[in-house]
Amino acid sequence: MTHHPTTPDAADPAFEILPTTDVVALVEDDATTRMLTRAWLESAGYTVVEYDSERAVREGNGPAPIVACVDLGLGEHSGFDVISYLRERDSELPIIVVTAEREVDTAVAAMRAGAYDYLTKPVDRDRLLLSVRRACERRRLVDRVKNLQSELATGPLAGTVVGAGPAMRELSRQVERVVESDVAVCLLGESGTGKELVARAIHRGGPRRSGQFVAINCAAIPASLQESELFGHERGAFTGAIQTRLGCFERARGGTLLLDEVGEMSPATQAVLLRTLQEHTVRRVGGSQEIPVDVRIVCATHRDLRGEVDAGRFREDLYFRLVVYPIQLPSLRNRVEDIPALVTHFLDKLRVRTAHGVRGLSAEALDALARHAWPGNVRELENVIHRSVLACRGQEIGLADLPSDLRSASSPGAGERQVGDDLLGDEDEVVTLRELEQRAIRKALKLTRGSVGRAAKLLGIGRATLYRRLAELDVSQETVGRIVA
Amino acid sequence: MSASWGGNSKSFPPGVPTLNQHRLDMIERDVSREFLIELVALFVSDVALRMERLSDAVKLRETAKAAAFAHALQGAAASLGVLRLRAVAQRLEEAVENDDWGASDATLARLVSEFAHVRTVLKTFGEKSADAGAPRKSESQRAAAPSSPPASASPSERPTERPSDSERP
Repeated sequence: MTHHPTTPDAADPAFEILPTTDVVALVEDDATTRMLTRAWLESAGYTVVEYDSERAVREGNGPAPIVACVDLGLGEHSGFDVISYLRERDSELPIIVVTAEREVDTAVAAMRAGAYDYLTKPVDRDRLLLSVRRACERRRLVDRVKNLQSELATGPLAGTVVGAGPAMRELSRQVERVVESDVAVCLLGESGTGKELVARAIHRGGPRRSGQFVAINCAAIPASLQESELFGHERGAFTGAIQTRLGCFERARGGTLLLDEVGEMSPATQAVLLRTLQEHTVRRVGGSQEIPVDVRIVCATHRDLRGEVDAGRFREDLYFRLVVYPIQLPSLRNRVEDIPALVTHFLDKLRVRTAHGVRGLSAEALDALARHAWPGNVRELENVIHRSVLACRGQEIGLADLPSDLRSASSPGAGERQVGDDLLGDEDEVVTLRELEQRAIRKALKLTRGSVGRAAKLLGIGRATLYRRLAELDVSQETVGRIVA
Repeated sequence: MSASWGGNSKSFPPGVPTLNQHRLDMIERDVSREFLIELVALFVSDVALRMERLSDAVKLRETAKAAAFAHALQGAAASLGVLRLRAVAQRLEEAVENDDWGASDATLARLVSEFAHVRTVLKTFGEKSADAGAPRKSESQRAAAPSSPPASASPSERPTERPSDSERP
């Protein structure tokens, strides 16, 4: 029998989302508790498949759940057996364990065994629905990432970059357009966003894959040595030039040359580079011979190269040669949906090197990662995961294992600061107050993954006020869904 | 300690009311009145069955079974907010686990008596509820919660349920 709430409470956090058809498996041997829990779940829109024993779970053939609530005190059988069985069938199934107050140690053991959350008896309805809702959201996110990853598995970035969110799919589409041609690609993005990885993917995916891929970081080479590094030098060209040396252009002949941090190139080297790109030849330092080179150029920079041109620090004619097809790489804070996949990737990578036993991150730790601004992008995330693995004493990285700046970033105050980021747009852009308000609301909803209550808190207004403003600004439920996605 | 918990002392266990009226109110509010009546009926029939098994296990001095039955009883009682029955069942589980069969027998007798009382209270509740013209709260409910907290108060803000000795059998 399905029971609906007599008075659904709009202010209730458990009713923030519309009723769903998500299936929840309820494993509970006590009939009273089972009936009550089922009614609460059904009143929130869930479809419940109930089992009263471990045997019933094993013999059951109901619809596959996306979340399971398991009583740890299942008669003579341990709830742990049920957890193991459910996990065998579905390794990503979030499991919420329910236990008596006196069995908190058991609950901790269940969490270590991979349970998503635990509740103590008597179960509180709001706490139950909140936990189930979060588990459903987490499960949907994992499923979406998996689906998109399989989509990306055949694209030009397959095996190169990790993540399958909208930003990475767009990047994959952009790269697909340029891999087959020799068009000059300029990769724009913050430090640590994977510009060199994408450059390598362009090289590997195109017709020059049999040639060399050579990368040079212009920022790491003194101006006086840039010409020699790029174009080579003849023996005796300068003090210390004891033998002839090939430059990057010649070494990349038939292949691809990545000019990383091209915005840091000296004016003198810019002039020589321009001539090389026009003539398709290089002249080694101290040499007189023009040597033909057939190289695909990919450049990358974290700077605003157009701004550098306007400021007179970068040649405009060279700019037009290099930036035929600009590709913007997304920063990590703009693709937080990829963080779980990246974390898994780095944990797997570290496992090979350090043989650690860490299996994943707690929900709180993952939330903290999602809230961090990531100025160092994916490189910073890898560093954080490495540090956290070293700090972790269990199988799951918790909030306490994260570096202190990330722990503090999980506080509401940090969220308030993030809401204010880039709301004003470009320096010379003036936005209307209405637009500014809309941006702030969208940003808060995105940061809180659609939680109106938490978004209102971040914005410093009441929940009812936010609902009213959403209606006044014509922001529908569908729009909120798109913002969160 | 266990000896002082046995017998028919009316203050046993001290300070624990029969029902958590707030929890019953919440169940009714969150689901429906009809559902609560069904839930109460299920609880009574289920616990009656469990009580028989528990009594047999205690009489036969089967520690593991008796402890498991007493433990299961607590879960059911906690879900519905039958506080004193839960507390007595917990005490019985502890006595059984300590192989203190003297205390176990005494506590079992107390548990049987408490269940009889709970049945009476809940039966009155069901009968009153079934009456279309009945007030929203039965007399027994009011007795269990002499001062209902305001609906807007959060659970933590609500006063703890008081023991109501007047309703003792």
